[in-house]
Amino acid sequence: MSDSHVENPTAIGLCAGKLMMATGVAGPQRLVIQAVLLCLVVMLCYPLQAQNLVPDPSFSRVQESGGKANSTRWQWHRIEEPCQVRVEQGKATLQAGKVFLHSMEFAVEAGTIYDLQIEASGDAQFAGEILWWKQNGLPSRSHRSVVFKPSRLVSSGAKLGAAIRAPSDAATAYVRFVTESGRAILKAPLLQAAPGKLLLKLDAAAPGATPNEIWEDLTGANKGFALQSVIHSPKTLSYLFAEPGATCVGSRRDASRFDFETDLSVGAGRGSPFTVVFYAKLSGRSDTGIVSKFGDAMKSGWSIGLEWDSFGLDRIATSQQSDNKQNRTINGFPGLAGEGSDVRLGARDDKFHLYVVHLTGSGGSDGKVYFDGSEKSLSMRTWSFGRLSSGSVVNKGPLRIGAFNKNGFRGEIAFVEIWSGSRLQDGMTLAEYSKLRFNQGTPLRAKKR
Amino acid sequence: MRNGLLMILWCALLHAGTNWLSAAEPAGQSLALAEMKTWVIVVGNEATASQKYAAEEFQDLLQRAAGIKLPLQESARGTSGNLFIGTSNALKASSLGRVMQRKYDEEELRIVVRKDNVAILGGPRGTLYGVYAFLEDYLGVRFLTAEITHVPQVVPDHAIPLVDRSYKPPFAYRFYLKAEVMKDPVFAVRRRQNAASQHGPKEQRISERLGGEATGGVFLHNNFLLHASFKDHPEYYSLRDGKRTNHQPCLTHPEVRRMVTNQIVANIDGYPKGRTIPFAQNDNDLCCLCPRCSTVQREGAAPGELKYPKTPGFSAANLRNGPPSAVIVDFVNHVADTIGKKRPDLWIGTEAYSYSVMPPRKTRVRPNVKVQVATYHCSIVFPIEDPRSKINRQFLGYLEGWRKACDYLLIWTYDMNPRDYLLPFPNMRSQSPNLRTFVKSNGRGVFMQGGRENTEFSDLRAYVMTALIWNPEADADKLIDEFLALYYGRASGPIRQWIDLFHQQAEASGSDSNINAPARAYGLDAALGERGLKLFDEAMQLAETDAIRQRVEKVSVTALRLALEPVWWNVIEAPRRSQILKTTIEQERVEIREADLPRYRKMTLRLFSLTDKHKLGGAPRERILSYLQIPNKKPVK
Repeated sequence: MSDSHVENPTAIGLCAGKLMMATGVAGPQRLVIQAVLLCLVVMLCYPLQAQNLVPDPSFSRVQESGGKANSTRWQWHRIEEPCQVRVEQGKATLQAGKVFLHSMEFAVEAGTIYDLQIEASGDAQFAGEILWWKQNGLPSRSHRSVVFKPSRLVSSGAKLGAAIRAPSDAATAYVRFVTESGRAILKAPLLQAAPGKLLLKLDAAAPGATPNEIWEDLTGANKGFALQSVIHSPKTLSYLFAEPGATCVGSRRDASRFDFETDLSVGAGRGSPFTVVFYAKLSGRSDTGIVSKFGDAMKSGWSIGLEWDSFGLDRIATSQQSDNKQNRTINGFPGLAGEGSDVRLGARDDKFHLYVVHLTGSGGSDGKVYFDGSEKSLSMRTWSFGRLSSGSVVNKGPLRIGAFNKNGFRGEIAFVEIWSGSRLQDGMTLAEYSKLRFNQGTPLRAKKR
Repeated sequence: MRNGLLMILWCALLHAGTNWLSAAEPAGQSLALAEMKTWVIVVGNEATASQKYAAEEFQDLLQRAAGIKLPLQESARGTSGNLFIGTSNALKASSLGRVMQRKYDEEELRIVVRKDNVAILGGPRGTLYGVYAFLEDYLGVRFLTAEITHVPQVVPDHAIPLVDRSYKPPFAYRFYLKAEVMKDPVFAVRRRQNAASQHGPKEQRISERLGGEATGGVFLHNNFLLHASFKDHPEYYSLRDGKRTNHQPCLTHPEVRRMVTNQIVANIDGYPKGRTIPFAQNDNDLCCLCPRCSTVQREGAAPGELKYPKTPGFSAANLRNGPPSAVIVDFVNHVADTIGKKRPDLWIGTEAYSYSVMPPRKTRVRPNVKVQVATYHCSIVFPIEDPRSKINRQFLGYLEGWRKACDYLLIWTYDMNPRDYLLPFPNMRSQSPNLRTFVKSNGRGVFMQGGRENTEFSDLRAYVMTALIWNPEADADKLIDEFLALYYGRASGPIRQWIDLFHQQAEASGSDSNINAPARAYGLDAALGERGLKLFDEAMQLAETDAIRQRVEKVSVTALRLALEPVWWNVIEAPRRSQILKTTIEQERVEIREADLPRYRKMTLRLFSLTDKHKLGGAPRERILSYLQIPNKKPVK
């Protein structure tokens, strides 16, 4: 697995201990302070990973809907009488023709994948939903996500769990449990951001045993990438992509791991977000495709490009397509050429830069790019020609670094990572990871094996 | 009581000559038209498009009436000989300059006639209305239909009285929903209409040149602006018989309030100044009866404390906790409080209609809320204040309650029978007193819903109702006579008798029916229709020209339709009634003798040949023909 990029909290605690020793604090007092500091550090470093977003998961405050919006209680709603909701010992019992039980509202992060879990037993038809709201209190464009489809509960009980992605305009949400035609006993609802998974880690600082033939994947999950016209530079700890068509080709065996379907194909909130992180230097005219995955004849697939176009403009461009014509979504950061936004990214300076490029899984124009450790994503423009159709982006082609045909990237690449999900290492947000990974201009590198 | 003799007198007065317009005023008290021959029409260069248009209308119609074409110019001719239209620097500097010392209401007009100068001015729309008032009152011009304007030939010594008059119509919002009016905005404005359908075609909108449109009226069913689907949020909708239904939103649900308010707030700067935001119930009476709504509905009373007797037009379940309008008012007040803090110039509008027409017992409406009260329940035969109608007495009480609860009422009233567009509709005698009742009841605007184009007495209604909405004090009978005389000429006598006949019979029946009822509910029957047919035979004989014969023929359909009442009843009403009463159609049908069938077939063919010829809408052709076993060939000759 990956090297940890987050400094060890225990180490921070020990550092604090050294400081306290230097300032004369010692004995039990020192231990207490050290423990408190440790807890604080843990809380700060893992702000979201372990947090249950569902307020009051033990159902201590439940009432029938009434009073004010944004209530500080769970609220139940009569949909079809008779309806009855009882609470005892951390369990809520819903007996109903049909009843809704709504959690209090809580903040969510747009585009993030959340796991919803609950222990449920009984004989009712039961479903779990999340209702998403925008910052201004109006419903999100995709407002209701059915996380658990309606199904009959069993008396012995079961732990239900499923994941869903928050819409790109969501700011708050609440959970809704739906009970129909019978009794449901609910316990321990849990909603948390799903941690990301590192699918690929290539680093020219640890290229493997034959650096000029194969670039090895440090996750160990994928076969190494075969080099074509690409040269390893031990001096700059990077790979040089100077020749036309220079590329590193992954194995077809691993190809399916990098197919990230969109909502348009698999349903709202169910497309797969992913993030490509790379540290690279742009040296000349480059078309799209520093990292790409296309099938034969480029009918379907995706690409992330670090471009330097014929107008001399540089940008990050993303593309997802379900055929090789109009059915594609192309986004440009900070802009696209010829659309009144000839904005330069600022990457034509013969230096390495860190890019964190995220596609949300929606298939729409809501991707994000973080540049050189920025915590704010770049603004994005969408190419006005074409839109991804409902067709699938899945293909059998291998993952490629560099060119996907004779055109492609010209420059140097120091490392590439691909993460699935909406969070990255240890549940960090894109902004947090961007900052951490950039490390004030000295990105952390893998240790040579 | 009207009769043919009276009509002939009217004709003599209006049609045969224009002497009444030329009656000499006492010396020195009038301005002879001949004296204006060398005058100029002054419309300042700063004038609005509407004022310039008013000047053009005046110039054109004066020329058509008197043969005098006064030049239009931006500055005065001198100290005298000016006809000022709209406010201007020239008017300010003239002998009539004092008229500009005060502001005029948007709809207000003022006409000042002096020997040396004339001024017609007013608010943004008022100047144009002033021109029309002048043309009508002093030159005898009548805007009869979109196609026909009556312009009498005026003699040179025709006298215009010296006056200084102003008029502000009691209804600031005037909208008669009728294709005959709406299809031509020029005509609509000549009939003093100032609103048009928000969803109508562009060519039917009233442009700035025509004075622009008044806003802030007509709140039609819009789910109280709740844009949340029943599928996503059944909890936002009404609980009836223990089950949520999508008929009306649950207005006490805190999230419903939050959502609706937030969506207004999100666009709060997008509303033009003074705009009314409408929150209207859906067109059914299935309001929410959930415990929370019931509590608000009781307005502080204990459960079971309120007792309402069975009230016609109301479901007992809806009234169990008091008037359901209390919940609506509570809801709109909540929205109005939030919106009022951010944009005090905006209005919130809502309806008192169907289940909400009964006003709340205690809750008052916020000052920035308008309520549009609908007269749907009212008897159409008798005026609202007429003690002969029990339903109207009840409604009058509601109106009085709303007057106390709300300072700004709009009235949604009707001028058609949606059930049967060709049937004579005996409401012409009640419309005028009703409009006066609305004025007394804080009514600031009227939305009068008319029937489809080319139905019943469409042309007459368009003329009379628009005149009454403009001035509820006007004499409806005189307006009817005037239109009939100018539009039907000598044939007007029998037509007037027909109108009187079906009104008299409806009144004699004591009918308490609302707008949506069959002929018999108004006391109308086939025998009356037969009498009507005779009157129309007479009218056809009297019609002087082919054009008039066409017009007479068109309205004769009302009598023909009534004469076919047994057929209509058996085809349309009997099935409907059997469904309600859980009987068979045959049980509800009336007997039609075999011997009468040929006559009915003949009349039916005649009726449909006329509906085809005159493009009359709303007849259930297929069903009628099928019942009478007549092959359906279009058009029927």
